Amino acid sequence: MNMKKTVTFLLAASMVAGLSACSGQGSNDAGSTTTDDGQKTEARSEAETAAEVMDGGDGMEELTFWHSMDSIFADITEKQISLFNETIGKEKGIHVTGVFQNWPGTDALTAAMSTDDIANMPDVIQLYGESVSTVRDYARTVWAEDYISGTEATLKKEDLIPNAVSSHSIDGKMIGVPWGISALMLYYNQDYLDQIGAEVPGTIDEMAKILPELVAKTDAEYGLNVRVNEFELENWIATQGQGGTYFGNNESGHAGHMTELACDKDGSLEKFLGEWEKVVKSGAYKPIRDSINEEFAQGMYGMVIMTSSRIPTIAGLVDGAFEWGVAPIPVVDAADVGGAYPSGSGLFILDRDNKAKKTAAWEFVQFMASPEAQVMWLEGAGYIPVNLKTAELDGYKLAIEEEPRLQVPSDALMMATEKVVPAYVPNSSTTDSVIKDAMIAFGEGNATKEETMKAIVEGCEQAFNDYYRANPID
Amino acid sequence: MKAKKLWDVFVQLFCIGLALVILFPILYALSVSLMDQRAVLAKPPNLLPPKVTFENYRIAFTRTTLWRYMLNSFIVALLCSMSRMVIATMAAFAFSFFEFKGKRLLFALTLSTIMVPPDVLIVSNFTTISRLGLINTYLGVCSIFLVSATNIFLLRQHFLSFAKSLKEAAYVDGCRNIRFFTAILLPTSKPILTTVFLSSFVSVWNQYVWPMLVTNKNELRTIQVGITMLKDRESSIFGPVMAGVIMALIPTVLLFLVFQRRIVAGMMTGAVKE
Amino acid sequence: MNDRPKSNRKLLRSLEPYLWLAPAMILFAVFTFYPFLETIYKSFFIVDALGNLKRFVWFQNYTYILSDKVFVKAIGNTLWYTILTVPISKVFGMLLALFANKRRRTSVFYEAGFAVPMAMASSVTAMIFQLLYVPSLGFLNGFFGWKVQWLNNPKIAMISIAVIQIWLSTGYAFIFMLSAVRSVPQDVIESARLDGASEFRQLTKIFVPLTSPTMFYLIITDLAFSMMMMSLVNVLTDGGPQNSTITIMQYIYKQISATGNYTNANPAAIIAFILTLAASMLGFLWEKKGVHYQ
Repeated sequence: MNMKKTVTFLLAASMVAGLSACSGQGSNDAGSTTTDDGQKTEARSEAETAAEVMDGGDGMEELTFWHSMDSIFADITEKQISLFNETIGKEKGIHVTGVFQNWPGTDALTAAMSTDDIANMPDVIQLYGESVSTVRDYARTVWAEDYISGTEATLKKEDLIPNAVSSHSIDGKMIGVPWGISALMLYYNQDYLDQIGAEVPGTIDEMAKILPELVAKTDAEYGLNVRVNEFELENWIATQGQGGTYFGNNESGHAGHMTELACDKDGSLEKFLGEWEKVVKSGAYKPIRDSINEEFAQGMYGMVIMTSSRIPTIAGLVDGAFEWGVAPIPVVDAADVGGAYPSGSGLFILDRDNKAKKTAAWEFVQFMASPEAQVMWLEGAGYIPVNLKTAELDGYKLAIEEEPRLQVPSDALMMATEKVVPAYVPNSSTTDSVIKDAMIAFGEGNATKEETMKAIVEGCEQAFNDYYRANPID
Repeated sequence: MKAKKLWDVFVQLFCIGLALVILFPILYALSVSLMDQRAVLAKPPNLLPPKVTFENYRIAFTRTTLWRYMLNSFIVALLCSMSRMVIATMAAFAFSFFEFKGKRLLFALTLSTIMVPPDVLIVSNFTTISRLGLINTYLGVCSIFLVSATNIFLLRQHFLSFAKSLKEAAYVDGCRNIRFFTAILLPTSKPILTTVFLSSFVSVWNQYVWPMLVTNKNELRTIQVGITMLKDRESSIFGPVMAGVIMALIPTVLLFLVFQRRIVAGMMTGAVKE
Repeated sequence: MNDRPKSNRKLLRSLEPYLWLAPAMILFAVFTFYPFLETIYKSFFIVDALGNLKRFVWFQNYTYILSDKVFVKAIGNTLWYTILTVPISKVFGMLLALFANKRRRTSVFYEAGFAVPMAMASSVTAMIFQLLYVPSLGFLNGFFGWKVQWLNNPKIAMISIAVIQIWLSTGYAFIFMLSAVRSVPQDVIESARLDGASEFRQLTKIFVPLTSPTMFYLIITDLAFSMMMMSLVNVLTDGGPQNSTITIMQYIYKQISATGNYTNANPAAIIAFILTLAASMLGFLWEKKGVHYQ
């Protein structure tokens, strides 16, 4: 046994570790000065030359792209990346490597951010709306606005779905570029609706009315299954009114920070809960979520409400056993704008003290939002092509011809206004549990409308307190 | 006599039945990994795949570089369990065969590391590793797993039961400490060292959060990270992830079966002795 | 001249134990003590998402989280979970070891069967049980015709999770207990048998006391482990429903991973440490009274 060798090696390793832990503090201080504008340039030029040397003589710009796409979404992401590398990348000397990170992608990012370890930072990162709070005030965040409004950009704001743009904007300036977008949809079992002679409901009230009938006259165990989390609730708030409604203050965080709810003050929350009470009282509604895809596919529900990205999964599971369709979610009031907001993720560029990399990163990001890349989502992922020009591609037409239901979600987004956007909720994992718990209690008849409202408002307040206590707005 | 034999058969049948019940979740995972998506959640439930398909394994291997991940996990687990074994043996040797100032305190400190919540230290440790430039290295992945206090605890108890007189006898022979350590103590502790090695291997093999955080190159990712990539958050498709689970399980179970006889034979013979 | 090497050797001899301990202690210092002390220090500060110390607030962070209903609930849940899992898995481990004590023809098979769960990662195990627990179409309910909401019912969810943990740690306890049971001297059992002691009496008077040191080791390590459980909850319930399964670690993890809120996570970690320490102290108290060393 060469135990001796191992011992020596380990000893040496632990010594090195011990020594540098002591001297570590200094280097951190040096790193943090880069946030100070005055000294930024100096530090930058050094790092830049270092980075250029690292890239080697072949002039290839190596980019790192962090994403948290799993399963089929990961497959398509890889395809998009290789298409970029083979086309624009080859032409402009850029090579992108995709790296999977733990969902929602913030663990590794905050670790890199807190050490200011630019060597191990990505050039481009995929983030969900709820994580924007993490990067909105970060000095290394490169705003997409700086590039997309430039004359050389091939991607224009007008090419993108309008509320996908506003969803990724703060004070009218784009911070990231929408990439993997989906929308909350109503999935209905057409056979069941035919059996009771009903139309696809347009409002919550209409929906509540047909629920008992679905149970009585069809094989469905429940008329409707949906677990109302933050995502669902926000959609029902956002789609209210003629022009849409903000869930939180400061335009849901799209102008200044969102520090409190707005929906409890303008009456939109109460209005929704009032309508939803009808669904609860129908006695044919299941408020918890088990395996909703399979259950719907087996005919257990007349309707379910879930994200559009499951259309391919449902199609695979149902496999022609019955007719089904997707429609925009029923609205609170017949006069509401309706539709849905674009949920999902966008791409964000980080400044690694290297201008060439930033420019290259933009090339990549604008490609990822291009029709050529976006059309790939239709190959089994069910995301909505965020680029309106995608519709002109043959690939798109073919995919829609094969699965016409994939057209409905993007129509739903177009239906809504620019004001129908997801909120930049700070501490959203906590608010999400608060809303979920409150809405399940409401749905099971264990809480009144007033109690539910109180639970949501107070729970969110506590969550915001937690967040802003630790991260005061300067 | 006959009654006794019958009883023996009965006990064996009972134990095998019990073992099957205990193994059920694993066998079920194996079965699911061979099912097509629609058979996984069905009414009535399928215990065995109605039609065996290897599609999930094909997906698992094409979607991720599973072999590479397994190799990485193997390297990391091997390095860490070797290191844990060596370092724990050395420390336990000191705790059991020497009298020195601060012994009780150092031992208490060692035990206290078991009670420190590891997740809170992660960012701090990440900072250390990042400053050492060990991000994206095997050493960086191994770093926080190189020593484990439970192993020291276990070995110390074992050594304490090891007759002290044996050491004295060795001294009479003019044996120096190092020689006593390598020539007498280690060989006689083989079974318990096997336990330490094996349990370390399994626990490092199963690590997930840290290996993911300190690597951001696909070539350095480990098997548990691979399983996450197969997990479908959006649509809850279970087949490929179960295929990944089974693949991840094979090496540890094999290793375990190979060494199992040896562990049971000698583990904790002296047990805890103060 | 003659004195020098002698005193050097003496010095070396007195340093020797520390040299043997050095690798372990250095690694502990770098990767556990240093960051943990840092955590204690930082727990008195408001810390922003980037790890900057904003303001010194004494014990305010502690009082802040202790007045948070969710955190208090997390403490209660963690203790409940520990009480549910630690004793039962040890008893099961012991029973299995007694069944398997005598070597029989098929020993190899069922010994392996009993022990294999110890090779499973908890996150992976969680996924398998997630599938088994699916209420409408899952195997458990479907096969037995039950209608149990394993993970959606706040009254049952924690028990469902405890079952998984028991499954996992019974295998571990078994393998340790098996060797302990097998090392009980044969003559002790024989003489008890000759005295006409019943099977049950043999168990309480011989097996339990003589294996208690092993049991002690298992309980101490498993206590710490259960007090810091997170991965099962993370995969299965994310702390819900109605916070019925949130543990201290899950609370900490949520604070860290979602928003980088170390202002809450640091003091929570210290509290977790103190609680675990206290629980282990109870274990050591029991050692004084109930653990028999030969």
